Amino acid sequence: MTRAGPRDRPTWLVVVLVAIAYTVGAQLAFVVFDATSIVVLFLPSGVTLSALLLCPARQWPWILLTVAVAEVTVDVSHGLHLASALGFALANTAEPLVGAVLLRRFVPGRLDLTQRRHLLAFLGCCVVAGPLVGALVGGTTIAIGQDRAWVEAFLPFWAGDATGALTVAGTVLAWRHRPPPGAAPAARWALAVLLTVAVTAVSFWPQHLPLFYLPIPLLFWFGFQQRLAITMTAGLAMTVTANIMTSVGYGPWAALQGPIAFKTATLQLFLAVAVVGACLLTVGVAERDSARSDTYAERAARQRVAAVQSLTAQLARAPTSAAIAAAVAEGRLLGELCVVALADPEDGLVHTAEHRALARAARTGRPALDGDPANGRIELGVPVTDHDGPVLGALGFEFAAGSVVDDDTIAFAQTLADLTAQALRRARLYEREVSAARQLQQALLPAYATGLPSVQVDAGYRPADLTHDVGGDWYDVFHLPGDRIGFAVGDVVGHDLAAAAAMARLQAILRVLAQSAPGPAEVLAGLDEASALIHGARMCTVGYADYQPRTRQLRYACAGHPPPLLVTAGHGEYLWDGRSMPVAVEPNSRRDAELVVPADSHLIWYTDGLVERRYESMYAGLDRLAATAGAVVREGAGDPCRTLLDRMAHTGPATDDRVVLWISFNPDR
Amino acid sequence: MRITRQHDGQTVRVALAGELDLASSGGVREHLEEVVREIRPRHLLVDMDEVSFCDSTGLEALICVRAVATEQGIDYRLVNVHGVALVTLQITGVLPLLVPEHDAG
Repeated sequence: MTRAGPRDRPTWLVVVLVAIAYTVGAQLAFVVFDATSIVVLFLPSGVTLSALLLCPARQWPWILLTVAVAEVTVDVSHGLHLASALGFALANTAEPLVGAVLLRRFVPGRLDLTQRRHLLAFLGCCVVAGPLVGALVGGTTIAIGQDRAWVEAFLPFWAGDATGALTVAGTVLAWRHRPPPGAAPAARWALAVLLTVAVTAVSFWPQHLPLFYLPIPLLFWFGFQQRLAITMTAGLAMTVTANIMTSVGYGPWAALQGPIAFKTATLQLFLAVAVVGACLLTVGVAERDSARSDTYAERAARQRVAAVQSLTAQLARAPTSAAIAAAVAEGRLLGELCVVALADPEDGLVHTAEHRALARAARTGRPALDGDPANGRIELGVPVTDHDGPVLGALGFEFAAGSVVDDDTIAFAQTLADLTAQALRRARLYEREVSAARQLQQALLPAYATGLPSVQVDAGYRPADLTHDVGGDWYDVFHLPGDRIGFAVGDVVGHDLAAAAAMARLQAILRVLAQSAPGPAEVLAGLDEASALIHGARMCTVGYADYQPRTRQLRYACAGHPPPLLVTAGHGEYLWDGRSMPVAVEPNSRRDAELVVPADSHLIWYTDGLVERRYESMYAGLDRLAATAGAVVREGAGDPCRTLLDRMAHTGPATDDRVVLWISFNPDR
Repeated sequence: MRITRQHDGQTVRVALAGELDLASSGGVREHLEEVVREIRPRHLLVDMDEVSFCDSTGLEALICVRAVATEQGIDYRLVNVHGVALVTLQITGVLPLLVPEHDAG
């Protein structure tokens, strides 16, 4: 015995079902539509066809054998000769076999009658061609056995079998192959059947009042409104009812005059045409609806692809976690509102209470759906996870009441979350690196001397935004022989760890040089010599000054560095003397300048990040700094460096480090 | 940053347009050094007319190219320096180095 496939019915069950259905149908043909009546509807032809089309080919011999046995049994029990019975058995097995083989040829895969091509193939192969073969054999059998004219035997046989195949197999296949999603209420199709039976009975009542067409509008109405299964069932109900009515002597066909063969054939033809018309209408309407929903699905898919592309591009440009969260939240990717919550780096938890679905997704690590009963809005939360690792955060989406949030939507939301996770992973790595570099740079910054008797020192350092690497800015204050004090501000070109390392090296060299050099110009000349010995030394700007408190003499020199700002009595003035080129550019003579510092004045030295802005001259930045510093001094702000840095901050990203060294000269000594 | 190059006998003029900053100065430096190495013109002029911004990394790039060009005996200078770029060159003191005629004028 051949093993049955997982979805196939066992052969014995098929045999039993076919035997029962076929015998009942054949008995009906004999008892209700008996030999004397003009009705030739043969429903069992549809039973055999359905069985063949629904079962694998290896079960076909059993089905056909069952049908042959049932046919012969019924025929002989009704007094037919064995020879005739064998003839009918041959006709009723050849007919569905031809139909099924042909149909499998044209539609090799899964048969779906709601597709126009499949429906037409079914009509051509199983309703026209198969019964034609059956009628050739069966008609001949009748012509010989009952001594009738061949055409009169052939035509009714063909019409009766064709209608049986169409209505029964059509109904079975329609129910079998498009299981209605969410199953139409049984009440609906029962009502359809009852209505059809009633209308058909009424229309086939009067013999001399032609009302037989009344079921047609009803069937067509089903075609517009209902699924093919219901249209087909109604068609079957109409066919059976019309045939019963006619066989018991009601309706126009019962009263027709003329050759009996044509009367019987035209009745079946009328019924078959009505059913086929309703089927084609149903399929046409279904195709239109499905095309419409395809277009909708396509548009949604297109929008989602575009959203993913745009998000990918945005994420590629977003270097930090905050920028990523902003890109996702403002991306208008799905639904009406998007909330992004990132896990707290301290405890790894997502703290949010407003969006319940989001909170649940973050807690469980799985998508979560929630509805707000108050306004009907739908909330969807998806976790942002690092592979199988910890939850990095969660995305929350909110949809208007009545929106469809299906598996597709959830899968798409999860895709967005996965893209976000990928970007976050990269950003966290980057943030860790930058933070390590920052710490190193901070560690390299010298501890400047404090508690000096003659001056007060304040310094501030603001790194560039996270998106920019560490820079090579520094400041320094130290003791010099003879009670002098040295100040330095410098900026190594470049934004990377190498720049930070070069900064540390130069700062150390400068401190050593300053101990023995006679003045600032000589310190800078020494830096030139030192950097010539360092391979690949970078260009840097340095401002250096020394101060003798006893004489209040300040000597200063700028190697390409912006000039120091001297604020006296709330009025700022730049010291433009003592200028020369940056260090490590090329050998050049160093100059310095000197002045006696007025009582109660402040020297402010800085790096170019404080005054440089794109699209404006640095002179404008210098003017702003002078005005701001003057105001800070006049107001007597307690923390002048921080106040100055705050006020000089501008909107937009800070692309460079900013350093301020603030020396307040004490009035006395 | 847009870079265009013009050859006129012994002179190569490289015109820069855009912002000369951390993002663009590497490319500019590479391009100019290639001109110095491969073409070795007698004069190399860098047209700064359309440079809207120049920071210290841009400055370093221009100065590094000068070192290479001078080694090869090439007359290297910036022309049409004005605006923000001019101020950067002035304040850092490298203007006479990169724009010799400016010093005279």
